[in-house]
Formats: sequence, structure tokens, C-alpha cells
Amino acid sequence: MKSNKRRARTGAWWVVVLVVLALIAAACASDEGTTTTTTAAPGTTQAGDDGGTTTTTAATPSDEKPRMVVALSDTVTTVEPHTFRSTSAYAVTHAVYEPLIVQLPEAQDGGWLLGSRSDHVGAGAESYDIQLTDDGGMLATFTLREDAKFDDGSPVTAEDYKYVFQRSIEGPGYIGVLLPFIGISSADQLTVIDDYTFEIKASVQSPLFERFMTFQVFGALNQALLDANATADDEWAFAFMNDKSAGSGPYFISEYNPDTQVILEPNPNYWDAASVANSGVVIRTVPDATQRAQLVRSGELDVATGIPERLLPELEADPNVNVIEIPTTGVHYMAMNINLIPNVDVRKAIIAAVPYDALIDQVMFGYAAPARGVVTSQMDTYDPAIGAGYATDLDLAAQHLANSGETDVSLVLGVRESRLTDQEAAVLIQENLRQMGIDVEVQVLPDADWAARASAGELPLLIHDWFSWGEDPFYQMQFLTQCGSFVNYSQFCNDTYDELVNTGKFSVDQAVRNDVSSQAQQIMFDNAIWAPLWSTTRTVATGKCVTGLELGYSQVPSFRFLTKTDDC
Amino acid sequence: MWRYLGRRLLISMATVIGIVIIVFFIVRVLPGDAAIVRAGPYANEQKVAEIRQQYGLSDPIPVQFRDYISEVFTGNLGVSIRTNGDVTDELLQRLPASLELAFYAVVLAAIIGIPMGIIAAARRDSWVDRMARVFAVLGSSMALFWLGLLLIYFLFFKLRWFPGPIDRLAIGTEPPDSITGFFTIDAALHGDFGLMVEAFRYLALPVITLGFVLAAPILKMVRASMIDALESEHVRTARAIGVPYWQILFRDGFRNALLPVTTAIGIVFGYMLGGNVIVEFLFAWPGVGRYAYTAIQVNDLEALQGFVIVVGILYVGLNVVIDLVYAWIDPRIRLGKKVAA
Amino acid sequence: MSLLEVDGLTVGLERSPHSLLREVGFTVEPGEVMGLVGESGSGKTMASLAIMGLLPSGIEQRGGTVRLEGRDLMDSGTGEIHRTANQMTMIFQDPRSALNPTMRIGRQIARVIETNQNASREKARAAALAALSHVGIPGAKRVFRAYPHQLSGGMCQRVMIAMALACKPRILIADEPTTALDVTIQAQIFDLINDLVQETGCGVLFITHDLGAIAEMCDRVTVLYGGQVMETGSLRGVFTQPLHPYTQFLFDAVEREVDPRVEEKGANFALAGCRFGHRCPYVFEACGQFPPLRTVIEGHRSACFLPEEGRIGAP
Repeated sequence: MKSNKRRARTGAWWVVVLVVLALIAAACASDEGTTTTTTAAPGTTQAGDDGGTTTTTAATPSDEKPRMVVALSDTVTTVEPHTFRSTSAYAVTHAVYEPLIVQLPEAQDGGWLLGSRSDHVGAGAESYDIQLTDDGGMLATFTLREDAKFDDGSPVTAEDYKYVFQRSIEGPGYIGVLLPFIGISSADQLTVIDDYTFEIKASVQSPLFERFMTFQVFGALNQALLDANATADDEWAFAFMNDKSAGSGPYFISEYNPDTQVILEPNPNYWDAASVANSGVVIRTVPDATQRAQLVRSGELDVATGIPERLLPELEADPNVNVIEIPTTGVHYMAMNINLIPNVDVRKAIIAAVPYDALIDQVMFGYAAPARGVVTSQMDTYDPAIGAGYATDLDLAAQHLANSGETDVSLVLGVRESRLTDQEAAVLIQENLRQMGIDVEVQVLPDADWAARASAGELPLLIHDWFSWGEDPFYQMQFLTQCGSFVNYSQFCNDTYDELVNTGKFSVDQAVRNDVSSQAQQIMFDNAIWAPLWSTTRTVATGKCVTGLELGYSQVPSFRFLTKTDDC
Repeated sequence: MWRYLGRRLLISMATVIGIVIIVFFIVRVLPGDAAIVRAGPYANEQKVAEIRQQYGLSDPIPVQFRDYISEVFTGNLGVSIRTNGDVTDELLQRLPASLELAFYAVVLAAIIGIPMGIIAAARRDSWVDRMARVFAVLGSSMALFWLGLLLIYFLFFKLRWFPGPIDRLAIGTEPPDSITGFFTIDAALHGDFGLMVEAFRYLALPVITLGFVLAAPILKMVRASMIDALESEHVRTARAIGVPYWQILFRDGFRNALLPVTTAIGIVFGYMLGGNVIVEFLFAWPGVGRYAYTAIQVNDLEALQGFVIVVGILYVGLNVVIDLVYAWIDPRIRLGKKVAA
Repeated sequence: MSLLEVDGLTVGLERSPHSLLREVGFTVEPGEVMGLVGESGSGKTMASLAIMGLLPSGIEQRGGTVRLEGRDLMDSGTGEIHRTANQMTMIFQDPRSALNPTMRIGRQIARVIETNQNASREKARAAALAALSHVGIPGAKRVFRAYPHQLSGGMCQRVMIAMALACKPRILIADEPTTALDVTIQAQIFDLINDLVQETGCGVLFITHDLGAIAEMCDRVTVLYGGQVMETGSLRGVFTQPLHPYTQFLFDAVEREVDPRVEEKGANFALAGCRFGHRCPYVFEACGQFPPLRTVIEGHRSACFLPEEGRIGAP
């Protein structure tokens, strides 16, 4: 008979064995019997589980389009079409609202599509025509498609397009800020000729006009539905639209879980439903970027954005993954507050001391191009002769510093807590400046705190990044460097510069634009208000057999043609 | 016993009121301007001012406080400046995910920690005891995210034993109709055991990560209080009068060590109530921890206040439950009066 | 053959050369109450725990034998004492903390009966109830369902005795059973113990520092100081004719109503020879050696090198 002590030991072993068995049982549990239901019918295949795929409830046996799973770099916080802010929300609204025209998709190597910057095609409009008018404005006439319908089946008419433009002008969303760029300020400029003919009269001439017409914020909104849900305080139904869609685009929102996931189902009443290559898109929030990368590699995710650059080489090497690279015109920059650093030679010294190449190689792992100014090196009207001046030259920097007559320069560089690349860049910049005798203290601030101090003009140096909708140089210059602009963190204020920007904004003559832009770039360089750090090369990781991802202005993804095959 | 309970409830209510008042002031100490963040990149001064107006951020403090108090006590925790959603709804939607994770993690931690602690105490200085002490040190010093990453890498990515860190259920799986909010329980209640197993599979990795780390303090507490109990006089008596070994271990030893052990489990569970931010981030778990963390980053005062209040209430509730458990365990608390002189 | 024979018991702290108990030996005859008397710190409780096999961790038995009815209780393999409650059981000084605070009284007694008498649950419950009445507890039914903290010290001690009775032991060790109780209760407890002896013919090792209790209860006495037996003999013999200087010292202290427990220096366990040496008025060179127990008179032994003539009779 065993003694009590031996019994205690065997008892302990049993507990351990049971726990391990339970774990193994859980791990080996097959998916048989798992019910998988979707809100709309098509057959479902699950990628990547051990033990097999589960298919249920096929509505139409011939319907074999796959369901796509996507994780983007940030979380969706609201899908209200005129107040959304996050990158993910851009993608969602782009999928559900159809504007009058869209970019012509151009096939690229690797199975993805890039929207053309020069050619547009009709979407909500069957055809269109834009003329310059003698009074210095533009007149756009759109002939609408008669078979376009909202997701609830009601037809799209010119009234709906007028409604969305009016809402942007008069509603509390931020779109109103963009409209001066294309010279639209009142509902009077919008004319409904008949149910399917719509006119917009712009009061200025700008190449941005046509581009803006492709933005989802001007996609048709179901006026009947919004009017029915407006209240006395909220006549444009902003609160109502916070968590749903009311558009005529290829998808509608079937499930909205802020911070967690948004599910897009194909709009059954979309006029071109046959062209939609998938049976829906699940946009899932995966907050950890490393996990996003891992899930693409394992096949749980079809598309992932916002992968940190240091993980990209590993993804490129993985045969199960495609990495799409798109050069951008956005800019990552270090602004210098001219009130807190009044000596222009000090600022020039700083510009010459920044290690531009090291930043691109070590912080961005090569996934960036030199920026060379607020008008970046990939952007229309960029002047390479001026841009070349933004280069690392420590001797020149020392010279500038000597000229400045200042010694013991000590500055604070503020970066946002949520941006690791900014922090890494700050450290490299700090090191170079230290070699020159400029002491820099890097402060990592919570985003809200950073925003408050930057706006209040309290940070002598800060790192920020920006991309412009429409990718227009004058738009970029206005927001970032025009006197009084909210995000003009260097507090730069130069009348000549502002005049040049204003002229360029409303000119369609390329020669004029080039000339004016050059002059502005020169002024900016001479005043040494920025060290433009880099232009990020955007990357998207997809599964190897995923094709059809379309990237448009500002790299907003479009899911219409997104699909995958079982083997490739 | 009822007086005891009544007293505890009164104190709890006073605590909750205190929490509600204090959190208002603490949250406003945070630097940073929520209105600017809300306004977004295309804002201007006017827009920001409008938003301040809309959310009452520029009202004087006493006015804000008055509005706040009257709203909170009707259950209205305000509107999130980040998502535009109702804070109460958003919290209640995310809470079950965090609670389900916390519950199973604590259960696992108890399953690991309690038997190990008992055995370590019963066979002091044996190899089991030494192993248990090493485990306790490891668990206390292990970084949660490191363990989580390891588990994900090996058990999911390499071995595919468990599904990826993407949600509480597979993409496309419809969650069970909510009764408790716990997917595992709700699925079982609806008789859908396949769904229940799936929910467990997705729970497995985060629960293991947390369970291992949480087991350490439980093990330490069980071991220490068991040693105390086993060296007590009544255990000596039990040995003197011939009570069998197992009975002494459990009925005289462990049963009397339950009080500190309950405290330890309560503390561990309380720590998990607010959701573990690290685990929720790593495993893309849709819980309140992530919500609160994001709220801090953008100065979403309403969400932050709401979070602290809700978790505070839960914590106070947990303490009342623990006190009830104490009373059930220890007759000295439950029955004060003397029976005979 | 004695009921209980303890011989040469030596106990010390692990890893320490000093001994807490040195060569302790005595016997308990059937039907007899043997008193073990000494100041606090003299090792009385330690000796009883050692005999019971209940030494706390950190303390080890280094030598000696314990025989019950002729059988050696020590397991030669492990060096541990194996004793069942049927053979020997013990009641402790503080009855309240000696009972399990989370278990009802009735259950605590019943489980003893279940284990030791192999009874069924129902039988054990009935027997437990009976035991409570047997030890003179009024309202046995209410006490049965009560918890220890709801009872007085005296009641708890009776419960302990009931539990001890249920073991039906051959030897009962009672460690200061009434020290924590009122004098009035004391008499009742003594009666209970005596009843037990009458009924079962068991032997009792009665441990106390109270000479009055010894006088009331015991048939024979062993005097302990510093972990060493100083003197042992019949009650009358030791009380009327104390042979050892320490015993005399004890009796003097009682007469002069001085608390013998209070002294300037504690017992010095490092002493190789007689542990009382440092306080003994008659100490001389020989005392540096360990003094064995010598029979001076029939049944009366003393551990002292001094010849008796120099000391006996001094009032």
C-alpha cells in the first residue's frame, strides 16, 4: 500500500497530466460542428485554420466569390462621411459612397491597380464635361447614370448629388475647409437641371476641381433617408450617420463595431455589381503591427497596411506574401518655429545638419524617398535645383552656425508618442545636432498634449507628417506653410509666399504653376523654416494569391476588384 | 451576518460616490487638448472653438461638474469625443470580452497556483517545492507581452495548434445571442457546443499568457498561508488525535488557509477587471483595456471618466462578493455570538 | 513492564550542536498519572511533542527510545516516531486555538470517532453527542452545532478531552490543560481526567508548572530543568524529601511566594554538565560533567553528584 506521501506525489502528477490533456484537447479540437453564419448569404471559406475549412449556407450555388479580410493601420472611429478622420474610415467611406467620377485604374506588376493621376472615368456620372468659363471659373456638367441605386434600392438622382455638396458646404463637417480650393462656397453654385443632369459652377480655375470630384466625400448620399432621420438640432443627420452607410457605391456597411471591425457587404443594388470581385470585406482592427504582419504571413489576413518598415524585409522574403510599394507625395518633416528660433542662420545650420540619408536607411529601412521641401520630390511642380539644397553638409552647417553668432543653442524637439518612427528620427537628428554643438532635448508627448503645444506654438522643433488629398502642391503649401493655417507649426508668415500660393492654386496653366511654385519653394528655402525629412513609400502586404487591390489618391484602398484564388 | 453585509454595502456605495467625484478632477489634470485632436487635421481656430463649445470643454469647472454629476447618476456617461458614440454603450459592449478573458485567466491561474502551492507547502524543500518557487519567481518577473509573443509565435504561427490573434471567434462566425456576454457560456446555453469550443480555442492563447503570469502570486500566497495553517496549533491537535493525512491537508490546512487565498484571488481578479491593455493589444481582443488606453492618448475625457467609474463600480462589487465569501468561509465572521459560556 | 518508557531522549535544533533535551527518561505505569513539572522553557512541551512524533520543523530527535507497552515506536528507517491516536494522544494548553475554527464541534469529535473506532457517519455523530454529555457539557445539542469561537475556554477544553477520550488511548498526555482556565473549571477538568484513568486504566503524562496541580493529580513526579531530568520519584517522596537542589529551590520559591519562573538568567543550553549548575548554591567541580540519574532511595532518583548528607533536611 502506498504511503501518504507517495499518494500526494501521484496526485500532483495527475493534476499536471489533466491540465496538459485539456490543453491538447483544445488545440486539436476540429472545426467540425462550428456553425459559421454570415449576415448575407454567400458561401464562406475560412483561411488558415488547421483541420479544414467550413462552408455553410451557400445562397446561390454558382456564387463563389471569396470573402476578404483586411487589417489597416488604425481603427475606425466613425464612418460619418463628412467628419471621419482615420485612415481606415477613408477606406470604408470610399467603398460605400460613389462619387461622380473616379480615377482610371491602371494595372501594375504584381496584380494590383493604381489609380491614374491624369485620367478619370465616369462612375456615378455616365459622362461629364468640364469647361473653363470666361469669368475665371469652371463649369462642370455631369450626365448621371440612370441605373444607379442606393443600397436600399432607391434610385440615385441629381438631387442626391446636390444634397451631398450642400451638406459639405453648410454642415458642421470639415469638408467646408476644402471647398475654397475649388471655389465652391454656396449652394447656389449647384444646379439640378433634371433628374439626371447636374451642374457645378466653380468660381476659380484649379486642376484640383476634377480631382476633388473623385473623392468619396462627394459621393451620393441618400437624401430621403437622412432627411427622415434629421432632428431639429441636427438637420443634416450627422449623429445618425455616425455608424452606418447610406450610399450608392459597391458596398454597404453591414456591421459596424468601432475599434473592432467593420464589415462591408456588396451592395446588391449597385449598378455594376457584377464587377465586384469578392463577396464582402471584413475590415478588422488588429492594433499590434507585428501581429498584422504575422497574420498576413499565416493567411488569416488577405491585406494589411501599416506594417513597420523594419518588418518589411522579412515579409518581402516570404514567398506567401506580396509587398506592394507606392511612392507618395506626402511629407515627413521637422518644423522650426521661427518665433522660438528667430535666427535664420541657426535654422540653416540645422537644415544642413540633419542626416537625411541615414533617416531613410536606418529609420525607414529604405522605404522612403528624399522629400526636399514642402513640394516633395515626387510632386507636380517640384524644382530639383532648389530641392537639392536640402542636403546634409556638416561643414556648411558649422559655417551657418558661426555666421549666426549664437553659441550654446539649446532646443526642445517634440514628437508624438504614437509615432515610433518620429521618435527614432528624433534621436538621429539629435545626435547630429549635438556634434555641431546644438543641444536638443527630445520630448515624447502623448498625442493630445503634442497637438495642444504644437498649435500653441510652444515647440521650437517638432516632427510632423502630412499627405494631401489630391496630391496638389499648392494645397500642400497652403495647409502647411501659409500664414495663419492651423497646422502651420513653424508660424511662417510671408506675404509674397502666400500670394504665390494663391496664384498657383487657381491656375490651370502648367507653365504658370511651375514658375510660381518654384518661386515659392525658393522663398521657403531661403527662410529655412523646415528640414523636410522624407517622403514615405507606402507599403501594403497581401497574401500571395490576392489580386485586385486598387490604390488611389493618398493610397486610399479600393476593394471593388479585390479577390484571391486558392492557388497561384 | 446581515448587519455585516449591510455595513459593507453602505461603505461600498459611499466608495462609489467618492470614485465618481474624484475621477472628475483627476481626469482634468491631464495635459493636452482633446478638442484639437477631435477637430482633426483640417481644423482651424473656429472649428476647434465650436467643438469646445459642443462638448462643454470651455464651461467653468463648477458647471461641468454639475452637468457631470447629474448625468452620471442617471447612468449617462457622456459621449466619446473620439468616436461620437455613447460611452455607456461602448463600455458595456466591450466589458464582456474583458471579463470573459479575466475570468478564465483567473480560473487557470487558480488551477495552476493552488495545487502547486498546496503541494509545495505540504512537501517543503522537496524538489516540488523548489520547482514551485522557481515558477513563482519566473511568473512574477516575466513580461506579459514577451510570453504572449512567444506563445503566438510557437503555438499559432509555427505549430498551428491555436488560431491567430484576431478576435474572439473566427472571422465570419456569428457570436451567440447574448445572455451573459460570455461567448463560451452563451454558446453552451444555446446548446451550440461547436461554437463554445471555438470560443475556447480563441480564448486559449491570451488566457494561457495571463494565467501563467497570474498563477505566481496565487501560488506564493497559497504556499505561505498553507505553511502557516499547517504549523498552526489546531493542525497539531488534528495530528495528535489521528486525523488522516489527506484530511489534515485539506480540511485543517487548506480550508483554514482559504481566507488569504481568497484575498489573493480577489486581488488578481480585480487587477484584471479593467482589462489588460497589453494582452488586448497583442491579441486584438475587443475589450475595455484598449478602449481606455486609446482614450488616454487622445484625451477623451468622457470615455476615461466612464471607464474609471464602471471599473470602480465593478471593483467595489467584487469586494462585496469577496466579503460575502469571507463570511461563508469563516464562521468567526459569520456568527459573532457566543452559544454557551 | 511500564506502559510508557522513555529513555535517553535527546532533541535539538537542526544544525545546532546544543541540545534542547538531554537524556530525558521516565516511565508511566498503567492507571497512573505521572507529573512532568518544570519552569517554562524547561522542555516539558518539547519532550511531549517528541514522544508524540509531533516535533515542529527545524527540530530533530537525536537519540533515545520511546516504548509503548514494550514496543519501540520509532521507525528505524526514517528515524521518525510512528504513533497512532489509539496508542497515545495529547491535549494542549490553549484549547481555543487547538480546535479547528472553521469546523463545527460535533464534526470535530465525530471525525475522531470515525477514524479511530472505524465507525460509520451516523454512529460517529451519535457517539460524539454522547461524548459531549459525558464530559459534562450542558446543552450538548447546541454545542454540537457550534463553532469553537462561540464557546468559552473551559468548554473548549472539555471538547478537547472528549476528542481525546474518543481516541481511547493507552497514554494521554495533558500539556498544561488548565493553565488558561479559571480555577473553578480546573477542578472539573481534573475530575474528568481522573474518571478517564479509572475507566480505561490508561496512563496520563500530566505536564504543568503548577506544583499545586501536581499535588492534586499526580501519583509520581518528574522534575525537568533546562531540558534535563533533575529528579523523579513518587509524589510523596519528592514532595516530602526533595533530593535535588533544584527541586528544593522550587519548593522554597512556592513557600516564599516567589514566582520560580522569573530569574535573571535563562537556562544555558550550552552547558555541558548539569544545566542547573549556574544557579546551584552547591555547585562544585564535578558538576561540569553530565550527572546521570542515581537511585538514592527505592523508586526515587536524583541527577546530582552531591552526597545527600550535605543537603537533606534543610527547611
